[in-house]
Amino acid sequence: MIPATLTAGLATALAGILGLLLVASATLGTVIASHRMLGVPRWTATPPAVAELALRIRSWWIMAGAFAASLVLGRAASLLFLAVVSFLVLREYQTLVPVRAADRPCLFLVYCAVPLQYFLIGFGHGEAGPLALMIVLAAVSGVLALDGPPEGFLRSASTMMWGVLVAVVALGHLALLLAPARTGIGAVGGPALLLYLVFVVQLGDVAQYLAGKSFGCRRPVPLVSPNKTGAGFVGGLAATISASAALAPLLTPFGHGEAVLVGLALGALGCLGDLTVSALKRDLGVKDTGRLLPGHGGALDRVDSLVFAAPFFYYYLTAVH
Amino acid sequence: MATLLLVAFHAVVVRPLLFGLLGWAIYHRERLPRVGPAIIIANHNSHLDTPALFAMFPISLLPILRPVAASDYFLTNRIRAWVARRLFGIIPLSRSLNSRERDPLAGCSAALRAGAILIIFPEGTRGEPGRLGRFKSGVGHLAERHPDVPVIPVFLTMLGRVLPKRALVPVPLLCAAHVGLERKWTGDRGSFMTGLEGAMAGLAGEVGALE
Repeated sequence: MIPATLTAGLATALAGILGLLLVASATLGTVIASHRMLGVPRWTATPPAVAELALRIRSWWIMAGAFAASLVLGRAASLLFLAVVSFLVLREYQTLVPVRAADRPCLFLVYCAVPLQYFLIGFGHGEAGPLALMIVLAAVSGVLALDGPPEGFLRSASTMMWGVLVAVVALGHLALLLAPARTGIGAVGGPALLLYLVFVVQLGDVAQYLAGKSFGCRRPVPLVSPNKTGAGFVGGLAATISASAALAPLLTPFGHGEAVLVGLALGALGCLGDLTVSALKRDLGVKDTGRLLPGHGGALDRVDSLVFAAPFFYYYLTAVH
Repeated sequence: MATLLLVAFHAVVVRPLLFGLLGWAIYHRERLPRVGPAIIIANHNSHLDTPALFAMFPISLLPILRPVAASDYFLTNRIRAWVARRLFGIIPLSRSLNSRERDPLAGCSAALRAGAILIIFPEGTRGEPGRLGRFKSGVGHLAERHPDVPVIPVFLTMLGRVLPKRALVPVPLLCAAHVGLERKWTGDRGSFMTGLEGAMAGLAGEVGALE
């Protein structure tokens, strides 16, 4: 039995992802095998960069598998998957940020934003973004004002609301793509658009990482992210543009020129999201936001490039198509 | 039968909640003892500290874990006493001074001789998160009596914010245990206790958890 959500374009794109992961694993296997032949006896003796790459690829299999399964299983499963991602990101954020003892009840209210937002989206209220945000804004501000000491009010309130904006409102735009009535793009299908967005942005992230590691010496943002290079940025944009051009005919209503432009915008906004989370981590004095995904760091480290790209993509679709 | 209940409670209820909701992580797990007798000491900010420390160990070791708990708090309420004895296998310890006639540490000594892994919170009570209290000397007396038993410091993070003193509802945040290197009796109680406090403060400093 083939689920109704699995359109031909979606199936082809998922098969393509499977192929990419197989190529990645095969390449890694070859590298490790050649190390062995050169006389390096054991797995533990492989260089740290290769070991980290192995962990990264294994995490990719799990993430891609869960995401693909949720897309195939239908809208409810996809919403649940995205809600869990929002929760994981929010939990990492709330663990890292400095809060006062008096702020503890508000940590709870902040979590309530997740079910609120995703239920509103699930029941077809496209305006859920502002509505859930307004409810949490009122609750958090009210409790902090009535319950806590006024010293540090602004810091606590704004710290919490920034977390809600990033983890729930911004990433919630991924789920808004699954409400076809709202976007007027029902013909193509929400799951296809979601897969297109996530694939293009994440591929850009990987390409930027690989290109930045391989070449490039100019470091445009040494204070925020000293490992980022100009070459990495260009490599990331090249990847998002090519991925967009390749996938757009399968998954989106875009023509060729439009696909290139959207790919460019997604690449640039992905990089901006990445840099924003880098600045956050530098401020908090941590290297990763968590250790949920071995080789990658935390959930926020993985989805940071979607934080601005997802809202852009959603509003672009609703405005132009 | 009693052991079965304890093991089932930790394996089926505590561990899924800790790993699922609190992302329970153990750093330097290889430093934990694989057999008893041993003494685990940890900072104490929450009722979740003891279940979390249990979750550092493999299920096969659950029956030999024995948390040392204040009898004036844990045994004065019938439900609390049942939970403390049946689900955590506590060794009750009297905190009052007029218990001089009996050796207050007799239960702990007997357990160590039987090969148990004791869990002790040397601060004596749950303190404010982010502050390490002075250690009570009980663990020093035990180490003096059992000089071959290793003492392993463990620093717990975030549990004090998930469920602090007087709070009723836990908030999900990522919690972790940082296991330190084992220490042995130094021959002198003063230097031994200073060493333990220093080791714990060192672990806290590595994590950046102290204010």
